[in-house]
Amino acid sequence: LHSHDTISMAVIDRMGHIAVGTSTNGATFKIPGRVGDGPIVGSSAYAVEEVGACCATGDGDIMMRFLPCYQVVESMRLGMDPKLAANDAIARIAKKFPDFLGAVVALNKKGEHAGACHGWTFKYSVRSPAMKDVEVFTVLP
Amino acid sequence: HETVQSEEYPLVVSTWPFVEAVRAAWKAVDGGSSAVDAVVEGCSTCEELRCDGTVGPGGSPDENGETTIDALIMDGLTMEVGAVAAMRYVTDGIKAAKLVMRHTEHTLLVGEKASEFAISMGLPGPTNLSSPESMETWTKWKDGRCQPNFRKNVSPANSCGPYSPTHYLQ
Repeated sequence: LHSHDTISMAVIDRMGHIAVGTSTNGATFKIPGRVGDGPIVGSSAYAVEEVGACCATGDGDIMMRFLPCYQVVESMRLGMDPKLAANDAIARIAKKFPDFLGAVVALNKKGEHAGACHGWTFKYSVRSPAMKDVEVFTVLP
Repeated sequence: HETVQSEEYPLVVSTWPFVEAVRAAWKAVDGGSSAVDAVVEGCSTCEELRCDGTVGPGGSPDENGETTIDALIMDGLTMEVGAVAAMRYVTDGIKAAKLVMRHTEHTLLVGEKASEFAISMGLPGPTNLSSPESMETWTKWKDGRCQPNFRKNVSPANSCGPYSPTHYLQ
């Protein structure tokens, strides 16, 4: 129906501490008072120091029912690598809502990252010490 | 599409090619900022740049033509969280979220009361969050009989409200 974009960001600092944040003005032509996944912890973002972090974007009305970022971090806690954890979180939503648009990025404590998406081609941005500037990664559905 | 490994910290990851936001967060964290402060730098940059018209003021008008802000910040070390939702009249979403995290025992503040809190704690406002672009988008939508919209099982289905529930599901 509409595209929903959000900035959702994860940072690991020099101490190895992790934080996440999101900011959005929501869905265009939403019903006044509607709140999406942006401010919902575990949905648009989640971080656990010992495990890693996750960022999500997409159809927040659907995604917030599945807490995809909480799921990604908990899957990584149980041993999944970021790619598998990201794919699994997206697949759970797609099984019930095959038409939803959405994406997640998973990031573990080792600095390994991967994305997964459904219904659209997703891009995410990374800056690490090994890079001269920000690099953009493309994830196909 | 394998998992990509980076060499070491610090590290910044963001949805979408919001390159300037990532650069701002990187500059902060590479200079020694905490992860929380770097997230604020990065997300604030997108709010200022109005990334894709979907972050910050001036985009995504609701049915009444108003722009409101949702934001969240989480510290993975302490599991502290601050968030604001449906915040009116204040442009600085991520900074408002950080104020909730740092200066209250709560997690989420919403609506006009979130705006009052943010302004009382020092953020600029009240500000009109609309822009000429968002008002033009909204005007065209109204002229197009408010299509598309997020209503379902309501009457009228193909024009603007007020709406009432249809009863065929009963």
